[in-house]
Amino acid sequence: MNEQHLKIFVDSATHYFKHLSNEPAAVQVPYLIDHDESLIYDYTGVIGIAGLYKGNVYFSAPEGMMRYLLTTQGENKHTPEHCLDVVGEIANTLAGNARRELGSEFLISVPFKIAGKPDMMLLAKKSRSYAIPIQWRFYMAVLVVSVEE
Amino acid sequence: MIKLLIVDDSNIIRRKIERSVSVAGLTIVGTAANGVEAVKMFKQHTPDLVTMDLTMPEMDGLEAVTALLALKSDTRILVVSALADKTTAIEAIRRGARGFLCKPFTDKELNDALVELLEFDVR
Amino acid sequence: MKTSTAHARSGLSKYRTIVVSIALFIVFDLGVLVMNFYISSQITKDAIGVNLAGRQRMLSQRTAKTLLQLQNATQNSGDVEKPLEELRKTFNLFDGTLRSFNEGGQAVGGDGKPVILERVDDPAGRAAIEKAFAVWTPYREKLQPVLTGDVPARVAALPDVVSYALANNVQILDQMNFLTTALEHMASAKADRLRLIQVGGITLALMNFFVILFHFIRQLRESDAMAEAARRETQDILESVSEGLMLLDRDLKIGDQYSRSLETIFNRQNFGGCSFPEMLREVVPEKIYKEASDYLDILFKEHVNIKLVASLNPLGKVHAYFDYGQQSKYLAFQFSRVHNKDRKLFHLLVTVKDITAQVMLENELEQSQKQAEEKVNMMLGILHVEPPVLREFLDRADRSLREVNDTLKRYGSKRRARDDQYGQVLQDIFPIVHTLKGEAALLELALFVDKAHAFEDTISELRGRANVSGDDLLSLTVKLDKLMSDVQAVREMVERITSLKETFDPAPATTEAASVKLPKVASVAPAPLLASDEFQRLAQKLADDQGKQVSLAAHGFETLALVGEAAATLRDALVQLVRNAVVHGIEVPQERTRAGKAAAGTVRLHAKAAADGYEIICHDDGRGLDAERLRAAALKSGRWSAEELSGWDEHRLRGLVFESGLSTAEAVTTAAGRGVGMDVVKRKVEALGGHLAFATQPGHYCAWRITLPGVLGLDQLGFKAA
Repeated sequence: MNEQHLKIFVDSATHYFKHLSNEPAAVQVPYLIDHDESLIYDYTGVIGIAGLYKGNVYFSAPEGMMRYLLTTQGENKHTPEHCLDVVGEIANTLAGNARRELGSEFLISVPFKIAGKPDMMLLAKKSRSYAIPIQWRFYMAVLVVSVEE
Repeated sequence: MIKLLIVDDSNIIRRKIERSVSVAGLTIVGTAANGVEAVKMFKQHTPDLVTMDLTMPEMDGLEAVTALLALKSDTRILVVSALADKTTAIEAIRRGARGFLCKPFTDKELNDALVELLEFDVR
Repeated sequence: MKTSTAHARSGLSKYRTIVVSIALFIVFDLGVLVMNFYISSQITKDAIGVNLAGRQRMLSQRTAKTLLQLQNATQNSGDVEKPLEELRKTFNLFDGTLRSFNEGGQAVGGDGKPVILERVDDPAGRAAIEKAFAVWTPYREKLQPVLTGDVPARVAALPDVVSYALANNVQILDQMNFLTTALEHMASAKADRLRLIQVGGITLALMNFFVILFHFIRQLRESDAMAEAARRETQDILESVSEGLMLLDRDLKIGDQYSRSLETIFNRQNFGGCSFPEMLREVVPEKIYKEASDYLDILFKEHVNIKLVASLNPLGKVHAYFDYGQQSKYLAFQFSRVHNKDRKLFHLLVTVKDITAQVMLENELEQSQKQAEEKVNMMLGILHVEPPVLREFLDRADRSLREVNDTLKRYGSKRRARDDQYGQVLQDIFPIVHTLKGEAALLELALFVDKAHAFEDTISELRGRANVSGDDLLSLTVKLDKLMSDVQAVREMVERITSLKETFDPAPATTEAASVKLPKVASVAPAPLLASDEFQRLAQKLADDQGKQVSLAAHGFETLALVGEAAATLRDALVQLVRNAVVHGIEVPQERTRAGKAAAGTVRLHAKAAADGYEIICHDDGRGLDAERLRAAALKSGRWSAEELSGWDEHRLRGLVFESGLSTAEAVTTAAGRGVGMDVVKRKVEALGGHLAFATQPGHYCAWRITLPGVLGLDQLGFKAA
């Protein structure tokens, strides 16, 4: 996974916020995490990647961020289902952009969403994963790109 | 006698094809370095077979394919080009060229392709 | 091929039978029709005959009756003309009709119109006619005078005729009766014959019909059986063949018959009627799908020679993904045309093979070749360094890189408080990377030197930017990842080399050289801080890179042995000093010669015991520190204005060497130019509780002095006077 690939994911995540709320999301200092480190918030949208690289890309955000996002959209119901919908939509955006930009090199799966801690392994075992913190308003979410060759 | 016209902007490729062709009954009637020349030579000799490069100055291969087929619709055109021009090659074939030979090619590949082109029956 | 021609032949014979059968059917029917027509016309004629024969009976009686009336009229002087006229008419009618029966010819029909009578050939009829004539001929003679003669002749002839008529009238009637009966017999015989012919014809036609029916049913059965056999044969092939086979029509729809393997290859069922491109789209990347669509398009163009476009096939070897990418396979598609009988239309026969195993093998081979090559290169790059030293380096590198990542993590998990946060990150990680590069350079590990240098490049580039955002730092993280992987790879290699060495050399510590040069990392025996040849190699390499000449002399290091972090820190500082001396201090030979100095510069490293610890001096006879160059560099950095700087004296300007991010080197090389160095050295020395100072004379020399207190746990090592 090179920088361009990572940028595509990062850009589509930040673009989503800007598009939806007119308030840009800021990318914070990206770093690496090992497969045994857990980096997950309350709601997570995951897309699977196959092809030259295999693994997952996920966007994980705290409940507060999802609720706030719902509020900005004029939605007053903040049930877990609503929050999942939001994170699912972000994952859809990621998948859509990735398919357009990377479709010739990778196969991007249909996204799925998780509330709370996932049962499955999301982080690639063989290599380190990229954690890209994304701040929107006063909430911190994270985009994790975890693939191996 | 079956007449062959070679169209390629590269002198080296033209010479290579000239040297390599050894199909019984096939005679090279001329060579052209671009589409404009090709049309001129075509009118002069009315060849049955044409080997056609795609990227050429002054009327490229695509236009040349269209122009030659407009002159004689049953002309058998073999596109000779690099795989990098795949999309263009497919367009040329869509316009009426009958086959494709990938550059670089060996003598055998060239002759086999020409024979295949000759024996191929549209109906 | 063989079966199809056999099929064609049997088809032809089938048609022949049908044609013959139908022809026969028509012939029979027509025959019956013609006979029917002919005989019924005969019957019509016979009916006229019967009719007229019957009339003869009546005429014979009327003749006799009229004769009697005539005689009566003549005797009683009544009206003669009316019976006479009646007699004439009756006579002529009877006579003409009898003649026609006898010889054939025209007669007057019942309606007064002429009809043709055939000569009666039937023996019974004939006999009746002849007998009738025998009586009629004299009768006729006797009648002539009555009919044509004048009154006296008529009166004279009349009694004779009347008596003849009375005598023979019954005879004529009988004969005409016989004739009628004979003719009736003939007609009914003909009707019987006609009925017979009709029955025969219909029977034949019926038989023919049954023949056709039977033949057809048999043939249908046979061809059904043949089709069934062919179908079963095809089915067997489709069930058992290992390739995926399917037929595409012009709309690229998959036919109903396809091989079982297709289901295995595509992990799905029911292909019949599906669109092939859509099926493809689900399993291959969009780009390939588009190329394939174009390619399929030309395959259906009749002018295209399918063999001559095979090299354009984008599906010749394609990576396909199934179950949302959970499973992937390499597939090879081949296309050929299947023409129908008249060769006008064709289907595309698609052959799909799962070539995953084959490709995997190829890839593995290629991969292992590539890896082997990389490993060899890496190995060559590290072989010159002893494994323990290397291991120590790797440990440090690992620690450094983790420290970098921890720094990133620390900032990354923070909400952005200040705008210059990113600048701070860069400033924090830079020295770590720089030190790593220095250490790598010292060990001549080009692989790491280059990578670390590239890392530094990125940091410098980002520092130079006005606006840095989080995603700009991505490239740093990517580079960090790669460096970590390299460290890991080299570590694995070192382990391998070590185990190899142990295999071949089970007692490495027995030779004296090994005990000196290869101390175990964990050993309590102090290792030399730096072997002087290490410094020499470093200086030499730096000089070579810059087109300079240098000789390095080191004293007092033979016994200056340190362990642990302190040794590493001090070594880093010394490496930096030597680097600084060669890169910034020593001039190129031409410049030195012009200044009246020896072409080769000299760097002296001197370690000695001091009153309260020890000191190390690094001295070079280069150009010294030029205050003006420092001023220019400071101006270039943009941190100070020209006015500010113009007020600074030389001492203050020289102090700039400890500023982070200033460099006087013209170009950035791996050796110098980033403007890091002395600030790092100063920090390291201070971390050891020591002090860094320098003295310089522009054009002549520059000397750095590290003063270390003797309370570092190192005092037992002592210093030997050089």
